[in-house]
This record gives sequence, structure tokens and C-alpha cells, in this order.
Amino acid sequence: MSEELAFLAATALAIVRALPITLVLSLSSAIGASMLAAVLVAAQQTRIGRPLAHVWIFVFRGTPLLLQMFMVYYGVAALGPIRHGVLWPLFRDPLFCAWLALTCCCSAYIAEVLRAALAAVPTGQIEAAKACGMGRGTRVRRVIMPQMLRLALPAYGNELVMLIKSTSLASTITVVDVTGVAQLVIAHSYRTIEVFCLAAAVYLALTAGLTALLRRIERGLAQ
Amino acid sequence: MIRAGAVALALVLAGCHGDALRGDVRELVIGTEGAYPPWNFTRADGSLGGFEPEYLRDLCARLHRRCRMVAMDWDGMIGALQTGKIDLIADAVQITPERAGVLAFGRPYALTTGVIATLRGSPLARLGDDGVTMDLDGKGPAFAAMTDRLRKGLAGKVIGVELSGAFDTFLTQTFADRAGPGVSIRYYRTMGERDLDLLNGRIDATLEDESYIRPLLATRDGAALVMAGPRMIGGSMGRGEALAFRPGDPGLRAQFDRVIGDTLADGTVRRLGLKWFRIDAAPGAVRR
Repeated sequence: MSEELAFLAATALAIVRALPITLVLSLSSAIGASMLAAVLVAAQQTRIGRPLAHVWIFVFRGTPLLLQMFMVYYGVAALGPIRHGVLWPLFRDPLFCAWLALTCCCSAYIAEVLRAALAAVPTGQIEAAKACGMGRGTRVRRVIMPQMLRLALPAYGNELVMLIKSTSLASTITVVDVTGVAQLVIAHSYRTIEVFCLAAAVYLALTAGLTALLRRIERGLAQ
Repeated sequence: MIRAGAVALALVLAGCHGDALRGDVRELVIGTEGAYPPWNFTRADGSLGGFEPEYLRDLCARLHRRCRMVAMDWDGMIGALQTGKIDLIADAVQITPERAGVLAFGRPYALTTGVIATLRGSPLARLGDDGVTMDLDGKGPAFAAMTDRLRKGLAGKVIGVELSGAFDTFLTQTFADRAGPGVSIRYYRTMGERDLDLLNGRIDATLEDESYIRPLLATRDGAALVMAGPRMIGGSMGRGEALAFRPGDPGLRAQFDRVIGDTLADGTVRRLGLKWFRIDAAPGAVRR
């Protein structure tokens, strides 16, 4: 019994030590994907940008993230200009490759969330704003954006929760995150259930914290 | 449909009857991984090839036994042996102290060493002690000096290794959680992924069996690699590869040990080793 407890404690410690990697990866790709999604939605409003954004979303939403990770880590890295070019120090790092794949993939989903929210802003209000003589910038800042953000928030939060869980795929390209540590411990101890449960508890705590934060923001915006 | 069922039933009954009559000579089921070239691998058409399928065919012929080789993951193989789903394991199983508790090892038919492989231009290519056999069960000042040289040579480097194999055990026990400029270990689920990262320079070196590395060096991509440092044996890397039987099945083990002895004496093991590993992997061929 005490041996079991000692094993659980050691495993929990190892998993918590890997938490910064999961956090850094989640946070950096959430920021990267959100910024990229905003660019994509902005591009969709222009004649030249629309097909480009369309192709981007089509490709990254339509292919599995696991495949995208492998493509970045093993595929792109094998290309001569990358392998022998100035970008190699970045692509050499598995964490960067995981970040890049997550950012590209999630940007496609978040762009769709933002696009839907933009479409849900009543056209009458935009026309009214025009009639009041508001310029384009003022219109976006004072009428479109506040409503769009409020409309997008629940679905956007959903995407962030998905993103946190998706970071576990980084363990397939040698990133030693929470899932990676769990798999290492299992391979060395042949114990499965308790280790996966501990890892699952960490993700549960992360997503629960994020959900609570989002709910608070949602409530704040509703007032 | 009913007729086909009747025929099948008749065949099954005939089979049982035949087995009952012949007693001991039922088909032997041999477990292997089918994913550890050149020891054993699965061809594109699903059949098994490699050193062990060919060697076990030879052994079974000498025993006048019908044998069938089945591929399964290493995780479940010992369990399958214990529950009687398979009769023996032929999967380059290294004879290690930890495994000796649950498995009854036959006579070793190969003795291969662990070796470091790195890119030709890497500083690790000049690790020192090249080709010298390093017994990890060794003691004394010479062994300590060699271990020290190895540790200094690998300091600050990234070593890739296949997860949960004997080399993983060695690296993790020897280098993980050590203060100072330690060795960082990167774990891979398959050897193919590890080899890719070794070739593109993401990892500085790998520790792998010489029997795997030698054929790799002969491939077009593998030509960029070299073996470096001592050839390691013993400790968590084990002392040679053997068939594994149930501890409660000494009769079968004795039969196999006898024909394994024959194949060692008549040069069959040497011939197959040169064919599949490009080295004579027979026990006793290793320089001590």
C-alpha cells in the first residue's frame, strides 16, 4: 500500500513537472491561433484575401491535427530549404513544431467561430451606424466588435478547451508534456490506469480553470 | 452454408482426433513481434521474414515439429506465453536478470552488443574506446575509467532511444536525473521515427543493437551514420538473445536446447547471422 502511494506521489510529481510545457504550449498556440484567426477573418472581407483564407480554413480544418504535426515535424523538416536554411534552429525544436501545427489548425476553427459571430451582428445596426455618419473604423470599434466578441465567446471558449486537450498530441513528436510523461512512466512501470488517471486529472483541472474564467468574462460582458 | 459448416466441423474433429493420437506432436505456436528488423519483420504481403522466422523454421524441421509463427506486440507477449496462447517466444529477447523471474530462457543463439550510432561528422564519432567490448556488469578501475569517458563524451548531448526497450532502461538508469551537464534522452515509439531524427540532426546519437545498426549503415540514407564508442553488453542490456519458454515447460526447452546446440556447432547460426546482421552473432563469436 505504501509502495503504491509512493509510486503515485512520484508519478504525480513527474507529471506536475511537465505542466509548464503543456501550459506554455497551450497559451502560446492560443495566442498565435487567435491572432491568425483575426487576420483570416479580416482577409475574408477583401476580394484577394477571401479565396486564400478559404483555402487555409479548408485545409487545416479538413485534415487531422495528428497528421499536421507529423507533416511539420517529419515532412517540412526534411525539405532542403528548411533543413539547411536559417529556419532550421526553429524546426529542429519539437516544441516549435507542435506550436506551429496547433496554431495553424486552431486558427482555422477560431476563424470560423469569428466569421459566424460577425455574420450574426444584425445588419440593421450596421446600416443605422452608417446612417448616423459613423466612419468604417468607428463602426467596427463601437458597433460590430463589441457584439461580435460577446456572440463569439461561448464557441471561442469551446475551441480553447479543445486546444488544451489537443496539446497532448505533441507527445507523439517527442515533446515531453503531461501526456508524454504519463507515457514514459507507463513504459517504465507497466502501470496504466493510475498514471493515465493522474494525467487526466491535470487536464481536467486546466480545462475547469479555463471554463470558470470564461464564464466570469461572459457574465461581465452580459452586464 | 450449412454444408461448409459441417465440413469445417468434420475437419476440426479430425484434427482433434489426429492430435490425440499423435500426442506430443501438435503444432507449436511461436510468438514474435514482426517489427524488429532484421530479427523479425512483416513483409508487405503480411508474411514474416528475418533472422528468427528463418532460424525457427530450421529448428522446427530438426525437431520434426509443425510450427506456426504469430506476430503480436511485445507488451502482451509474456502474458500470451503464460496463458498458453503461444508455446515460446522468439523475438530477440535479451537475457536480463529482471526477465529471468518470469521466463525460462533457452540456450542463447545470439550475442549482440549495444552501440552508439551518430552522424559521420559529429564530435561523438570520436568518442573513444571504439569497438572495445564494455561489460556493464564489470568492476574495477578500467571499467570505471571507461564509464567516465563515456559519460564525459555524451555530456550535453541528446540521445534518442526506443521507448521501453533494454537500451532505454540502461540510459534512463545511467543518465537520467543526474546533476550537471547530463545527457538528455528523447524517447521514440518506433525505431523509424528515431532514425529519421538521427539522420536530420535533431538528436546527436542513438544507442541501439549492433545487429540493427549494421544493416542500417549499408542503406543509402544510413551511409551518413557511423558506429562509435565501446560495444556494450551485460547489465540491463542482457547477455545474449534466447528463446523464452514457460518456466513450467522444461521438456520443450530441453528439446530446443539440443537442436540449438546443433545449429551452433554446424555453423547455421553463423551463416544466418552473416546473412541478416552482417556479423557473426553466435555466442562466443564476440571479442571479449
